[in-house]
Amino acid sequence: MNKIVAEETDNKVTQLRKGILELAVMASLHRRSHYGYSLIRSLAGPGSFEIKEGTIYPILARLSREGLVRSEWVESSQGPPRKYYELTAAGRTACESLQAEFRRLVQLVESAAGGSAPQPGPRSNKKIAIRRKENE
Amino acid sequence: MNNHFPPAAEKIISDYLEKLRALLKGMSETDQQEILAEIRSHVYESFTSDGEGDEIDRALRALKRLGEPAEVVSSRVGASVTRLGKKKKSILYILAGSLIVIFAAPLGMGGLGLAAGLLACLAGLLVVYFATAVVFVVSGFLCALIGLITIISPDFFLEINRWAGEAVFQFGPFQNHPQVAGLLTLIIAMMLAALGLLMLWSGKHIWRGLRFVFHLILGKIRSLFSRGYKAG
Repeated sequence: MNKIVAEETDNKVTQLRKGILELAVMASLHRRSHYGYSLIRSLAGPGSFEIKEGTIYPILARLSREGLVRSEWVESSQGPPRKYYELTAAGRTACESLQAEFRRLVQLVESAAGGSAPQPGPRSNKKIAIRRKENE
Repeated sequence: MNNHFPPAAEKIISDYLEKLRALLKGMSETDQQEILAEIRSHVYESFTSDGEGDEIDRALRALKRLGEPAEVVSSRVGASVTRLGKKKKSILYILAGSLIVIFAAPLGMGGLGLAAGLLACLAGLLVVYFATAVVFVVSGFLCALIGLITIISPDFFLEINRWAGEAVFQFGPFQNHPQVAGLLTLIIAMMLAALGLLMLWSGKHIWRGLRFVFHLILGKIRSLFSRGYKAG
């Protein structure tokens, strides 16, 4: 039974990480342009979790298809050319709004776990109003 | 492509990239080359930043950190498959164009007629095959019904003969043993129906095989065209 619970928890953690990884990639590109390997290095560090390096390429490809990042090949003096990625203007806007949403979600989880109560934003007010209307 | 790795490491990394290339089938050659170049560049960075062990160990560790080829291309393969799905609508146009190029250009309109005739012949054979299978199944079950009735009530058909005033149903050498005739009819009918069902079941595989051959030929035609463009 414990094994099943542990597996389910692992799946949830994987799903959570997938969503957050995309945001982390965008946040890192918001600071400066990166090629694949340097992006991985920027994500490594205290508080990071272990990921297969190759998983960032599907994310970059998806962001590129959505027009949130652009890329260009740059010659390297030490080896093969590197493909640099940077956020487009739409990517910057999306990244900032996703980061704001992420902070709200972290606050929500912390308050649910017994931390400080979150300040209700305009979106949460709207939802409460709709629910009240339905109850009436 | 320049070899940036020592020979032994180059072999390991080339094998990995070949696996990756196999997963990228369906994408344009340019896209494939770009993805492979990017992954190669990544492996190089990872390989050179790892100073422990010999070159084989370093190459293997770099690929392990990168992950399985399927993980590296998962999203891109999905997109290319979607693009292929959109392209499928134009398959008939591509086929028609290819037939014109292959047959009509060198052989004149007579050649195109020959190609159309061959395709019609193939389609006709397929129709005949499936029609035969259906006939086998239907007649098999009908004969099995007749066989069953003969076994259960042998007088039923004799009554029909009497009512018609002539021998509509005859049991041949089993005239005096209609139940034996019924049993034989039942066995043969079941075999016929089974054969029909087998034909229908295997028809699915024949259809898949034909589709495979069709796609193979189409792929060859495409590669011929793309080579022609590059040469041009």
